[in-house]
Amino acid sequence: MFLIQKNTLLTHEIEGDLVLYDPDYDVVHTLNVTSRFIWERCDGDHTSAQIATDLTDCYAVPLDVARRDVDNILNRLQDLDLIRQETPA
Amino acid sequence: MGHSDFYNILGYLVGLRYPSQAVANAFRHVLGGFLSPPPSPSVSPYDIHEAPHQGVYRIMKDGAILGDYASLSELVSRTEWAILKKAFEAMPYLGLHAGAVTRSGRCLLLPGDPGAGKTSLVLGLLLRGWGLLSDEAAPIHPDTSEVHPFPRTLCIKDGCLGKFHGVDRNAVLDRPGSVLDVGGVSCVASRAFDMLPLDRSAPVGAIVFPSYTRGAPASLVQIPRAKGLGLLMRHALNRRAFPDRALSILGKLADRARCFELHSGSLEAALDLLHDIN
Repeated sequence: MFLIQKNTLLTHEIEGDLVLYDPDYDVVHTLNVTSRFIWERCDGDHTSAQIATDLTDCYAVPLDVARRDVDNILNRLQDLDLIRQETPA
Repeated sequence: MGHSDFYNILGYLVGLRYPSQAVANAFRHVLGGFLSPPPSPSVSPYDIHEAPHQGVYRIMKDGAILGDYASLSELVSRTEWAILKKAFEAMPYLGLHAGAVTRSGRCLLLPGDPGAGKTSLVLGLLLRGWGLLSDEAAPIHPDTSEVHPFPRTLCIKDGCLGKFHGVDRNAVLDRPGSVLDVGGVSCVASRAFDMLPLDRSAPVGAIVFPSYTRGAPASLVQIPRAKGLGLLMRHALNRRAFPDRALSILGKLADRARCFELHSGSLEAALDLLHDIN
């Protein structure tokens, strides 16, 4: 399963954080560095496992911790309707 | 029908024709920050009629009755609100629910929900020598992200004006014409304070999100700009009028300003904390 960002969101980067505005719900979300790292890999080319591996490569995080954090954050992003899952064709 | 005035509220032109000097004085007090020379071409004014024996004020435009009011205070407060609402709907600015004051050419923005203490902080800062931009609604220019003046009168609830006398070192509130009671609300005229000309704007130096809790110790804590931007978006009054731009307009503003949260239960302690912020 690949993950894809919702394409109607507006974004603004500020001091390393990312602020998202969802005009569909008129709601603002703020992503910290880790959430932003994960969010930016929701590009249709990465699975959650690949994102967890990228996270361990970039930060000194054990793989099991990275997997847990990535899954938690992806679930949250899905709950907020900021990303969707897509099965590869 | 000898008295009439024109007001320019962020480019929205309004004419009012008064039935008496008393009615004229009340509107000039409340809307005086927006007084303007007669526009050319002229605009059709609102006509206010007075029938004191019936206890009724009537407001009409182009022959149509727009409303009847039982008292001068009701006439003024309802009409002011209706005019400001129309002006805000028509304005080409992004409006923030925020107080705004200036010092040394830079704006201190105070966005907050009702009850957060915006008007109290604005009036307190004005009495300590800051300049007025707005106590309630700050218009943000969409290209520059600078704040324009919106000098409506400052409305202080009945009985609450006394708490400002401790900070009113120049006795501004005691000057004739500074304060008018409108239906139990003390309206402090914007012209009592230094004010940026209506055609000017000010860049934002600091953004402070206030909250008031009775008796709480005062604290001023810097917060990440991203959090500040999220809060700014929450306080945008007409962000749906700028669906593709509101985030970038306020983002540009947050990029350049420091953001803080102010918690306080004491006006003087809060004012002390804000003294050197800009």
